Amino acid sequence: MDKNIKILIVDDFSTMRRIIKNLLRDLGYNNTYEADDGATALPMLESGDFQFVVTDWNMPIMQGIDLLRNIRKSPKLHAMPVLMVTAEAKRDQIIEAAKAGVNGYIVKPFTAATLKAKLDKIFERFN
Amino acid sequence: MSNENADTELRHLTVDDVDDIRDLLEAGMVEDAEEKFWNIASQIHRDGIYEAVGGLTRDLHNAIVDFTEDERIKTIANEEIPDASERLRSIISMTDDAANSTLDAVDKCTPMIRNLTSTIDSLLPTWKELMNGQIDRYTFVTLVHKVDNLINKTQQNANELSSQLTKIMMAQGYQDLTGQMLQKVIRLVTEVEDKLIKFLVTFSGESSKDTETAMKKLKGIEPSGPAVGADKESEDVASSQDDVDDLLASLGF
Repeated sequence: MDKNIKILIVDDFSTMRRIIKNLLRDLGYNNTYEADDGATALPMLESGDFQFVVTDWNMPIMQGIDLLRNIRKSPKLHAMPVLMVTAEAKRDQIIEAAKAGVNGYIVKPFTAATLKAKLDKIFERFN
Repeated sequence: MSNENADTELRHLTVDDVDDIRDLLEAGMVEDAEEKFWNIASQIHRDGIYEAVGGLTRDLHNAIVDFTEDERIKTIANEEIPDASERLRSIISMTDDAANSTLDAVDKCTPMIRNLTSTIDSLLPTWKELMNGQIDRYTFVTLVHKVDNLINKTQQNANELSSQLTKIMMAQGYQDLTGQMLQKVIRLVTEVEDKLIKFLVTFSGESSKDTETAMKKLKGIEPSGPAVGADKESEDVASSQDDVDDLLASLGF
């Protein structure tokens, strides 16, 4: 996988954005950007050339699940791989995210190894 | 209660009434005096005071009934306050874990840094001799071996340091998780505050337009933050990343 792909990290907590950014950097992905909720992320995605999204679920204004639905509805973004990293762990929620077209689902707290495994799996499929 | 004495002709209190009561009291007939007092009291002008007291009592009664029968209040008292307490306890435990993981990592890193510093300090005098071209062959060979050891050791330590730094970084995830829990507790406290204010407004007789906060009842997929306590054990909640993976695999992922 091209390590230079442009990644958007969406989470309302700046500490979690930093953690994910650092983990991605450790895995060799340096081209990362941040947004603090879906409403900020969507226009960035629409106007930018992002190739991958890592998003939280529980955020103000536009939640991660709605961001995912909007991405799938968008003619430009519908094929974008989306990884959800969230504390939401109810079975119904995971099923809902799967139905909405999520490509990977990680529950917080998570480990660096889990993130790597999910990224590898997603990118393997997209290659 | 206000119509009980409606047929009785209303009048004002007189000196005779007071004298009658005083006579009875002086004769030691306290009960008769009290009966006389209440008879008179029921006949004198009330100026709407009974009605006012009655109205106020009704309002208070209604407010208490509304308050105690409000389903939200029941849910708050029976489920959400205990849940909030559980969340607050989890926050203490999560911050405790995060602080301990961070301190453990620091404990592991500190000796490595100390060793590195002391090894370099011990090598420096010989290294300076080498740099000044004043080194004999035997000392040079010894130095090369020491530097070789240092390089190997440093390589191992660098890996270990990097792994400990990752642990410190991951431990900071508590800020996001506890933050979500605190936000939920704050929402609950705000709602309880709102309900109490409404109760007080009703009680004080001021007009209170029913501005029920549209608190959405937690449904299936609405975000609820990290699972705590009994929720964690529930079958509705994935308890680990493996559970999530199994569920997704069963859905064809």
